[in-house]
Amino acid sequence: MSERRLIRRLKQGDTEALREIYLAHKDGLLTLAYSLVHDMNTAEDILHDVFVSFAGAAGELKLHTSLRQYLTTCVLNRVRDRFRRRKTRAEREEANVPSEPICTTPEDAAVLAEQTQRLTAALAQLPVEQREVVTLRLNAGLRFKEIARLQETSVPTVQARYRYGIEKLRALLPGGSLE
Amino acid sequence: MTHTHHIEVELKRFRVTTTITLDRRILDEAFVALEQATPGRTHVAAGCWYQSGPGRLVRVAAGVAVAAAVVLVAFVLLSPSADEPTKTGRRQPRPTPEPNATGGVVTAEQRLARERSEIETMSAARNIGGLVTMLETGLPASRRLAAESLGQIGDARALPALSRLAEQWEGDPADNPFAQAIERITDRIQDTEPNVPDANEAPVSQIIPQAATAPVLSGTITDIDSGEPLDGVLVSLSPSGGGRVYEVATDSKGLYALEAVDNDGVYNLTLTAPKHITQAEWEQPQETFHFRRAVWERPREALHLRKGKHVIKDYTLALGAEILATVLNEAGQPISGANVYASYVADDTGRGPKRPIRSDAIGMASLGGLPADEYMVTVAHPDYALAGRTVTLARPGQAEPIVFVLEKGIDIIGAATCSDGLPAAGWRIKAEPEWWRSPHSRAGDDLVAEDGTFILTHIVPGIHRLSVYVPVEGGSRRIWSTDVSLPPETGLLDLRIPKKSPHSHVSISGTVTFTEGEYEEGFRIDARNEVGWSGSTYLDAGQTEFVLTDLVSGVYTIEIVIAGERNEFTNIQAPSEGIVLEITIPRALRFQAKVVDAQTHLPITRFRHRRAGELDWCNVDDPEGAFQIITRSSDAVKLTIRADGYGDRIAELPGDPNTVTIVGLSAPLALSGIVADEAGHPVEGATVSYRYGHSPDQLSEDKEITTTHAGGRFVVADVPPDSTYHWFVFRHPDHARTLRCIEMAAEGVTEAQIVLRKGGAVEGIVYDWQGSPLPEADVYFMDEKSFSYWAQNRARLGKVTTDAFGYYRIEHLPAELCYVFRGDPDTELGVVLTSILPRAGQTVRLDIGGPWKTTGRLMCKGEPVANTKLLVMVQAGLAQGFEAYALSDLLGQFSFYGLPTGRRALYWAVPGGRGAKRWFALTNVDFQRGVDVDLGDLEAVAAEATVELLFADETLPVDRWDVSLCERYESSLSRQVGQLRFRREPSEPFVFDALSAGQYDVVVSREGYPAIRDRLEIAPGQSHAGIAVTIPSGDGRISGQVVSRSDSEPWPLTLESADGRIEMSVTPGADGAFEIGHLPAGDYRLSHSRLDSALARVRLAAGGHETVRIEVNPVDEHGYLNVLIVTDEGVPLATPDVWLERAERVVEPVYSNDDATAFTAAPGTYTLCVHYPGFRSVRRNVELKTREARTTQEILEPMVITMSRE
Repeated sequence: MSERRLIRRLKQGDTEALREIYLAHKDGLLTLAYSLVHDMNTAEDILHDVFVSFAGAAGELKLHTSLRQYLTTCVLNRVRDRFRRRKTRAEREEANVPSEPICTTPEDAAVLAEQTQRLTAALAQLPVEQREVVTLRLNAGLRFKEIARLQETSVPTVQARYRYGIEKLRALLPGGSLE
Repeated sequence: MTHTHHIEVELKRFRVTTTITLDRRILDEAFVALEQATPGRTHVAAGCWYQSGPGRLVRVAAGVAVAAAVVLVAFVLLSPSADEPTKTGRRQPRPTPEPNATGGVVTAEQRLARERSEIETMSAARNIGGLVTMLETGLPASRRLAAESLGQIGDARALPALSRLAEQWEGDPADNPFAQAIERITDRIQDTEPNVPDANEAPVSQIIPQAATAPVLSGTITDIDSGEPLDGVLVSLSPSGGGRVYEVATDSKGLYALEAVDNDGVYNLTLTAPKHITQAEWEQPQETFHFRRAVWERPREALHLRKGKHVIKDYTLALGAEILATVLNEAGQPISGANVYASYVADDTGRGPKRPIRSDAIGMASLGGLPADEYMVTVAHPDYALAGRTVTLARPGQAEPIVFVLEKGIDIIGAATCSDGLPAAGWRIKAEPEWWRSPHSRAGDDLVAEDGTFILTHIVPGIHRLSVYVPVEGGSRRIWSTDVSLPPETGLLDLRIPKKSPHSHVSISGTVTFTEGEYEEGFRIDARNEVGWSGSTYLDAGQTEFVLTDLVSGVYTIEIVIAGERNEFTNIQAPSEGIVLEITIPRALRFQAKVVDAQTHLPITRFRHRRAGELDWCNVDDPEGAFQIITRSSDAVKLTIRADGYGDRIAELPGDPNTVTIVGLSAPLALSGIVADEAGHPVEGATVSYRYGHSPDQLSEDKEITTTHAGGRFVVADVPPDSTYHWFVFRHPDHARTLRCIEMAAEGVTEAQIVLRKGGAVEGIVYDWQGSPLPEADVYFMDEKSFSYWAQNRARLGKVTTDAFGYYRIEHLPAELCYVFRGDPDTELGVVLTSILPRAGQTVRLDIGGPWKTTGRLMCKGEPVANTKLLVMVQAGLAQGFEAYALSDLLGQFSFYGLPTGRRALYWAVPGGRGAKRWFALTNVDFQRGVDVDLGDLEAVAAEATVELLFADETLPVDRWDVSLCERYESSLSRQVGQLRFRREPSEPFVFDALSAGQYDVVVSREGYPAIRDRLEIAPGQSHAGIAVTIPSGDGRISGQVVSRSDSEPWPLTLESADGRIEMSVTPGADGAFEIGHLPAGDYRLSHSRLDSALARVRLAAGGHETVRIEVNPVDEHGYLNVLIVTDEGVPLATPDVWLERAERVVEPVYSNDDATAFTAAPGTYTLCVHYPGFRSVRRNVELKTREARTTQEILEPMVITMSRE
């Protein structure tokens, strides 16, 4: 079914359409949220908030982009809200202070391969903007242009952030640690 | 795979999934939110949020129920204990939102909340009866929740109710909560089953200690010689289409078992063993093309794994040798964390069999499992200079200790400036010693600061290769490199990068559109301008917008390969936006074939096939011997088909998808023979290999097939029946390599007698680039067949190493032209390539380099040109018999040592040029062996030339004309030169940079129009030249028909005007028809390059139309002759004056180089004349023969002319 028809049905209150949208996007959005916040509980909360708000706003929904990009933006905004809240609480001044790596629960540890853990732990050490770009590019599959729009900056800046992000990951994950 | 790429791939693969509890929680609340947002419009599908599905799903569900019933019976018999504590979700359910005031909906919501609360209570109390009741009577969401709770508890009493509901489920079977609950309960039952030991089955339980069900893959890995089990061998399985990689290791009994894979499919298996030989991915074994001689087990292979199907794979591995590296600092203290890597010396790109190992706390690193070979062992540590050393491992089990003492080195400060005068800010500069090949270099290459300064750290003095990298999407790209001597004499390294700075970079963006369908795969977009500046990007499947960044201004050609079809878009200017690239997708075609026995015509039911150029075989097991291939390319599909008991067959499936091609396989042919020496004594232990060159299957060449036994006898049992002639190579350490073309009998065994000759010896001294004898230098000997710079080919005839005095000697070289390499022509200085004609039974002397020198100074407008490479050879860009390199110093001075006698050209490398185009001729020199020459100051002027187009009248189009400059040579070997500057308007003239003095052809062309040719000359020292080329108007046409008396394809014709200014190539259609338009009035001739006489002459009036009929019998009218001219010493003499004479007619060679001179003229007897200063002139009668009349020997071996000194 085309996305447009799905949205039309959703706006008519069709729970089946909502279910389809949820099933199609849930894992991608959860992965994105988890990559950005590095905490499964928080990521699940974000996914929850995004979908409940999305459903709550279905009547007035006006999409100018793809649904995937719209939902990605919602996740990103929620993540930013959380960072802002946390930053305020901790009275952090630096915009680029990376979030501290959060210990994963034993259950998470069982879910994630060791290699992936190293990657996501390294991701958590990137400055927020770089982490966003790397995750949006590689996890969410967004184009640099789309990321630039989300971050309200230019494509070269986004590309630079991506480059520096990947380079920092290279430094954090010394050669061979993933091989 | 680079580290960066690896990170990207891993991140892309990374995925977390929601739990059902989370899904339920979110959707329940989202539904409520949706109802509130769209009041009165909400309609809930049957079964809450699961969907109705087709009837097949019911059958699946019924199957689950049957299985559940069976398990239930088993469960009752085994009296279970399933008192596992209930796993709770990761988080507590969120409180239900406040219900609103809308009557009916609120009641349902309240009921849902109540039921949920009840289920939680019942779950906590393990109230199975209550939960089963909820299964029967609850709301759909509550039923699902109850089923989940029951699954978590794992009580089999719930199975009947769950089975019934699972059967009634009408949604997606993957979502069936009742089937999922049954699965969880049965899993739990199996987990708690008592493990009854069975004496007969004991080995199986050893293989699979962790699971009661059979694994998908298991086996043992043992030592090939001792049969001992191998512990700790890592077995990796990666899905062929990408995805999760599974890894298991063998235990102390050599056993491994992979329990399950998520998806059925083809998996690539790779083994990694600490002490035994396995293969790196790039070394994936390529089976011998025709001869199935398994050298060893395939340690990497594709396996088809399916759930529930147990595959057993045993492997035997051979013990390898080991390098025990100790890494110390200059104080003798161990260095930990240094990357130690072993690459094959013979591999150009520095690849090795194993991954790098890090030195441990005591500075030790053990690289085991290495095949016997020669290695370059390199050590890289961020805080020390790079180090490396070669080591030869001769036998398995050998442990070779090496101690590396890492130096701190010095830091060198530099400034990098781009060609536009701006600093190369943001780029990176990497310095590696010139001998460095390893891909595992030191991390942290040096970033150029905003002001252009950079620091190279930990440098040990010597020649280094500096590589400049620009950041690109997801990594960096090397754009330029140069060799410099570090540290620089002035202290500061002034690096002029012949590329525009990042500030000058532009992009091309746009969209790719597909006509006639969608393209379901990702693809790459490559852009390249005339001077080789390139950019590329990759579009994932479904993505159509692209941006090519980091380009310089200019005109680009964009290339996209889709389904094997190359789509080229020319004349695209950078910068530009909104470009639309339209690609027509070819339809998927089905090619069908049937494989039968050629004699009985009965189907061959088991066989495998592989497409040309691919490595993977596709196995077929079909009672009719039928198979099909689906491809988007309409070209004929070329396949190799292989079946046991038959010879390989290369079959071509025609482009007609409705035809079923019958491929008949025949028994393989056999070759039997005796190898003897010149005295007729049989030679034992001689190896027999297949031909040189690439097989039609595009596989590697020259595989060893067999060895001669007592009596010199050998048998090659399965020569493929697809060709009459087969080339074989015979080698023996005491004889010269022999290459024989053998004509095979139509069937059965072909007998052959092979004579191995002793050959000749070559000896001499190797000198370095500064004229000193070079000890411990490797010298490689390669024959002329399939000459290539590829390192693997260099030692085809042998390899020797010089002694402490630079002396070498090699025996048993065949009496044919041999190319002699010292090191790598791409990176070393001095004489790196020369050639020699050994003489049977004699020793000839060949010094590589020498103590005499040729000096000069490279200047540009009075300034020395420093750090620039110079080259001496006959014609840059063509493979030939001699190459020597030098590097100018800070004063522009350069020295070549030991250039042999011959007429060659001196070139300098223009900054910014690539490949052959970067070499610009300075002067031609008659070099004399043993004589010092000072060439004085040589002006390295990079001149520019302007070509202006004038149009004879207004009807001619002014855009889309292409202009190129070619070096003027009489032969057809001219190459394009110059770098075309970016033009903004079609009216702007064409300006070419980076030209040296010389004569050039200016070629102006446009699609559909004849090309206009003119001449341009740049005098020595001239910095600018210009020419105006007038495009003549004309609307005359010549059309016609080529009538051929043979079945061959129509030949391409060349139309040329009488004055040579206008020319055009045209290929007649299949019916022989052709038409050429836009021609001005004049006299023209139509010809073909392989025919001496013109095929037709036409006089065309203004605006006229002439028709010609060309009858041609396409028999080659040419005779051919190849000549090799050598001095008394057997060294090829570069470019003497050489020509043919016959009845007042002089024939110049079509090709004249230092390793061959070729003539093409009418067949017959001629007088060959050779003249070179200091040598006696030669005049000799020779015969030019047609292709058909020449013997194989004449085609393969040139006529040798020896020139004696006066």
